[in-house]
This record gives sequence, C-alpha cells and structure tokens, in this order.
Amino acid sequence: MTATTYQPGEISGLIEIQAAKCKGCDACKKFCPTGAIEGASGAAHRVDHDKCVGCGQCMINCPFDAIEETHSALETVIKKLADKNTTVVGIIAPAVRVAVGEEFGLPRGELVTKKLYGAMNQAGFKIFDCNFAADLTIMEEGSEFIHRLHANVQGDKDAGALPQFTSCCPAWVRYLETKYPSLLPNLSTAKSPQQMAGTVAKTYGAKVYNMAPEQIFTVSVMPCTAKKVEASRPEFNDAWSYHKEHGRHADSYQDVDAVLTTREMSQLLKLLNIDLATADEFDGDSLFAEYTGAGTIFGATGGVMEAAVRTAHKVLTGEEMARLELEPVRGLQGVKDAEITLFDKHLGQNVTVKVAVVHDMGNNVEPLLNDIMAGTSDYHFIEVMNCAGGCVNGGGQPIDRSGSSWVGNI
Amino acid sequence: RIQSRNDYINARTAGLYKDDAIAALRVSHANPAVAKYYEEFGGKPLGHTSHELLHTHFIDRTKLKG
Repeated sequence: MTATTYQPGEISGLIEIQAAKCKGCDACKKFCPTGAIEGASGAAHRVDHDKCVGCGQCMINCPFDAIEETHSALETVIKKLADKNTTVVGIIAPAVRVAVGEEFGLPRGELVTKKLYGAMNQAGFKIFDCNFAADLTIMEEGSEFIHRLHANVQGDKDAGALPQFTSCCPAWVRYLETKYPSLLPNLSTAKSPQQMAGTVAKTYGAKVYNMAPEQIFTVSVMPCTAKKVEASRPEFNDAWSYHKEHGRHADSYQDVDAVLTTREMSQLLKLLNIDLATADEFDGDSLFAEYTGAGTIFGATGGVMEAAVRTAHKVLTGEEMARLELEPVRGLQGVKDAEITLFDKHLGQNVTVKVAVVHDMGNNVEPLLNDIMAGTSDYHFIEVMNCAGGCVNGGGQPIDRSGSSWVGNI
Repeated sequence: RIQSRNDYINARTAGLYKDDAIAALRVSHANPAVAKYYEEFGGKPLGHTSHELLHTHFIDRTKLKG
C-alpha cells in the first residue's frame, strides 16, 4: 500500500505537463502554491500529484501552452442536454459572469449575468445561480462563526476553534488537509457554495422542479479547475443519502455531476452555435436565480469576509451596517485585515472582531498558520483563497495568450 | 506581464463590485429565496437538515492509503 493524498473515486492527476511542449522555463513554478512542480531548468517538468491542489495557476501562466487538464465533462454535458428525460441544472459561479464575455469579444470584466442566463437557457440549462448558494453559505458559515465566537467568549468547554477559516476554496481546503491537518478544526464545516448548490438542487430542487432527483443532472460552471476534484470527493453524495433515508432507492450519485470551467462553457456555447454577446437576456426560471450583492462578491478576494461581516453585524447588533462596503478587505495586498467593534446584544457587551483575508495563498498564508499553531494569532475569522485576486483569476478562467505570458512576481 | 494579469483581475473585480452596487438587495440574510428555502425545506441555519445537507467533515490527507 502506498500513501496517497486522494480518497478512492476522486479525480487525481488533474493537471499534467506535456513533456513534448515543456521548455523547462520554470514559469509554472513561480505560480505553484505548493511546490508541486519538479524538474530542472531547461528539462521537461512534471507535477507531483500528491502535492498538487489542482488550482491550475501553472496552466494559465504557462507561456508555451504546455499544461493541460486531464478531465473534461464537455461531451457528457452535451449528451445530457440532448436527453429529454434529464433536467440539466447549470450552477453559475460568481466570477464566471465577469469573465466569460471575454471569450465572445466583449471587454474584459464586463458583467454579463443575464446574457449568460439567456445563452445557457437556449442551450437547455435550468438556471441555478451559485450566488444563491453563496448567500446560503453566509447563513450557515456566518451562524457557525457567531456560535464559535459566543462559545469562546463564554468559555464553553467544547467551543469550536478560533480563528475560523472559510472553506469555499477547494485548493485551500486540500492544502490544509495535506499539509496542516492539525488546523482542520479551524476550518468552517460549511460546504462550499458549489456543493451546497448541488445538494439543494437535488433535494429541495427536486420539489421546485417537480422532478425525480435521479433525473436531475447538475453541472457547475466554475472559474476553477480544483472544483472538479472537489465535486468528485466521495462524501459529496448527500442528496442521494437524504433520499435513501427517506426510502428512495437508487444507485449512488454525486451532488454535482459535472464541472465545466468558464473556458469549457464558452466552448460548449460555441459548439451549439450560441453567441453569448448577442444572446437574449433571461431572468432565470426559479427562485434559484435570486441572489444578493453579498453573494456576488464571493468571486473577489475579500468578498466572502465582506459578505459575512454584513450578516454577522445584523445578527449580533440587530442593525444593518450603515455602510456596507468593507474597504480594508478589498484590493490586491497579499494579507488584509480589519477590526470591527460592535455592541453584541446577546452578550450585552462590546466585542471587537478581528478578521483577515489572504489570497495568492502560496505566497501569503504560512506566516498566519504559524501564528495560529504557536498560539499567537489574535484573529477570529480568516478568509483564504488560493488564487491571486480570488476566483476572478481562477485556473478555469479565459486565458489571454496574446503577446508575452504573465511571468513574474506579484 | 504581471501587470497585464492584474489588469484582468482588477477589471473582473470591478465587474463584481458593480453587480453588488446595483443589486436591489445587498445582504445575504435579506435574500427572499434563501428565506423560502429555510421555511419550506431547510429549517434553520445549523439545524438538523443543514448539518445533513450543507455541512461536511474534512479529512487528514497525510494518512490516506490507496
């Protein structure tokens, strides 16, 4: 038996370097958060899959287009869309709506939510905005944080660990699991928005759509390659378990059946001759297309924290924040932090909550983890995203290969 | 080069902040669809159904055998 960092059934070896195309330029190594790329300068490189977190940063930064993904669900999804007995639910991540337009000649960063709904509706998808699930994540993860905070202030014996880490980013979760398992109690137990969306689509969604859960095929559209690995985790079949407990017998199925990157969704639309740039706008076809501004900013570094603070403030004080923007957690500084002092009506006292936000994980997170392990961290809540800038710059986003590559240090 | 990458990050981030700024509702606890989910199906945040469907456990992956 050899040690492996993967569970049975999980996608492993997602990111591969093609030896014939690799020039050994080392560009990828600068962007790898875990030092998973091996090989001398000038020689073809290879990926150590046990260290790889699947983020795809090496791929989008390779000047020679030498790095590829070994798993694509594109053909499967096209077949499912053509199957009259299947309802295909498209789960759209926040960061997709400000990047997919680039593949259709629209300006970078253009917000195309309703056009993307329209194009995907034309392709045959039901619209499930992952921003709805992001709002749901805030309700769960925010409540969990308040629970841990209160339990710690009151000195409960089994109070959860602080600081609490966000758990939305699958590369970050895998990094902690492979490198710092002693800190797993600090990780929020809330599933990522992708996984909440898949589970809800096949449980509550089965009622909303009036469909048998086995006939629902969930396809998430993600700015991220690591989401493919996350969706394949064997424990993420909670909808199936739920229905089984309620007396429904079927072969096990995953909560999220397939993951397409932003690039792959663009390919799918092009294969179906749908031009997103000229697509009719569409508002969605169920309550799963309703989302708030807090849900949409999940796609930018600091967004999860900002959204969580907005809701925590309301829950703790009973009042909405006078100004919703939390400027200190915005922007591209590697580690950002903020202090929020508020009157906690449940404790009957003022509390000061210290939060931190980390992105470009490989370059920035270790000092914070060392502080926590040494017992010297005074943060209560920490957001960690693997990719520089957050999901907007994820490994599944459109790649601009015009001119030189994006080699260099931040 | 790296500036070009950051131009993309900044442009896409601005798109998301715009989506937030123009949203009719800007806080998760005000999402009526989320409220409906809890009312008709999910119960309460951190409740029984939430633990079953919306939470998970993490795995020490330094010890896995395959």
